[in-house]
Amino acid sequence: MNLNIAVLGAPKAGKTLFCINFAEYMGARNLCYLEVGALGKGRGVITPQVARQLMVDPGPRCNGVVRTFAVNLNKGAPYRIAFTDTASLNNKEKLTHAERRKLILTLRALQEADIVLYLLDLACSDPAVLHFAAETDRRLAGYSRSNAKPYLLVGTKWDQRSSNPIHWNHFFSSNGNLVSISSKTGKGFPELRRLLLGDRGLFSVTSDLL
Amino acid sequence: MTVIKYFPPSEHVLKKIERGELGTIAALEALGEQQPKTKCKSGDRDENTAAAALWELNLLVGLKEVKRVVEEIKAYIEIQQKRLYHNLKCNPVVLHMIFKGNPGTGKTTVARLLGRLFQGMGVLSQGHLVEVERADLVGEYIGHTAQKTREQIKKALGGILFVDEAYSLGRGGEKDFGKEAIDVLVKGMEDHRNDFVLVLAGYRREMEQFACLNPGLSSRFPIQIDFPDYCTKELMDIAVMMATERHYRFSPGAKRLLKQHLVEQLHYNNLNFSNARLVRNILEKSLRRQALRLSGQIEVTREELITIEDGDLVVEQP
Repeated sequence: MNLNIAVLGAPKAGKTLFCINFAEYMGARNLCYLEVGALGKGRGVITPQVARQLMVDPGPRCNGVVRTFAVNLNKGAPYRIAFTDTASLNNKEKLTHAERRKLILTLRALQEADIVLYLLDLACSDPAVLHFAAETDRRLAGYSRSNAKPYLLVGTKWDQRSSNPIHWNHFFSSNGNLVSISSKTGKGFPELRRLLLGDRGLFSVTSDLL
Repeated sequence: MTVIKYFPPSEHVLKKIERGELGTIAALEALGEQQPKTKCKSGDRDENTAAAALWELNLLVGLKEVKRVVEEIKAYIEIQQKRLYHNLKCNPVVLHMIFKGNPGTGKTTVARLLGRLFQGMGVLSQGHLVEVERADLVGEYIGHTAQKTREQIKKALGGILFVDEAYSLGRGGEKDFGKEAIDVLVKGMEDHRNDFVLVLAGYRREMEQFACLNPGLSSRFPIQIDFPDYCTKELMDIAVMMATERHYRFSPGAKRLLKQHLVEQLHYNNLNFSNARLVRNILEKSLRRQALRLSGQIEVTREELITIEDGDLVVEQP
């Protein structure tokens, strides 16, 4: 069984690092990747270390690329998990041509996904960004409910979280329930793994979340 | 072999993005609004069709009860669709119906309008009416009935399957194949719950007996509409309307004669009175007789072509 997880988020929400580190946490030594971007398609196998290095040094290849990392699991019900690291969602009225292409790629990934994760940057305290994040989050929650896809709000960068707590008056979808993680330290990964894969199988657990 | 092109439901949203008409939030909202798992998939809402059908229904003479029920159904569907839009739980809309009424009370006409109404509201994809009777459903040997009935259901998918004189399926004792047809119909109702609407129509007395024969059947039809007989005034209205539609007019004498005839018919021939159908038959016969009268004349005025005189009316018993 293949399990597609779409990872969405605002720019700099920590999508790529989350995908790489979480895949590594799940036990992946090598990541098969498939990327679709402005420069065409690419595929190959990469180690998490190299992937992280590439991420730190963003070349033209890294911008606006939809990457899918696949992880093969030896045991467990879904034995192949693909994380789709999507292009970031831009808060703009008028999108440029390149941004439109990115948005379309992201939405396609969203449609193909079995599970939708929305990453929220806990380190951020800019009200405009938070407002946009809340708007997006509500829309995504509505979308996944009407399409019967499990949806999870994930707070990233727990280790650098801002001193004033998240302004929940921005009305996030889940009434303030989120899984907080830190991709750098690995905090919250076990809980997320349990939520995604479960003890009794995936869907029995994730359905509680809806 | 034809190649069916598959367009995911969101393809037009993506096209809009490509043209730059939608921002990020708007795009996500547009995606979320599409509910591929609901009834809406069967067809897009078309306000005009629905409004036109409702308008035509309201033009029908009498049938107050029917109009009220249809109004109710329409409101219910609309509210369910609105609830769906707000991501609220909504009950499945079961629209299978039983029409009870004497001959000529408008059962088929209303069914045809309902098909268009439901299509306009996005409940049915086609909205066509497949009219069948016992002979179309019941086969000649074992197994034939199921096959024939299934075929009719298949034809009616996306529209309305209208079984006229449905009580005749319950007749004929234990060995009759009519029962098999009922079973297949019931199964079809469950299998294609969102795809088609089954309407069983028949005369009131017979339909009530039929419902008693199959106790499970009547509970599967939440909507039961009674078509009452028309009174004389309504029949006169129908006659005038039918004549006007065909660009004819009754002379005052003809009107009086027709009314007198209808009163007599209502009074003496209560059981076999065929309501609007009787009016239509009288009108059509009268038109032919008027034509015969006029064909003998050398010069015919416009007024004469329009008017039906009392001498033209065919009111004697057939």
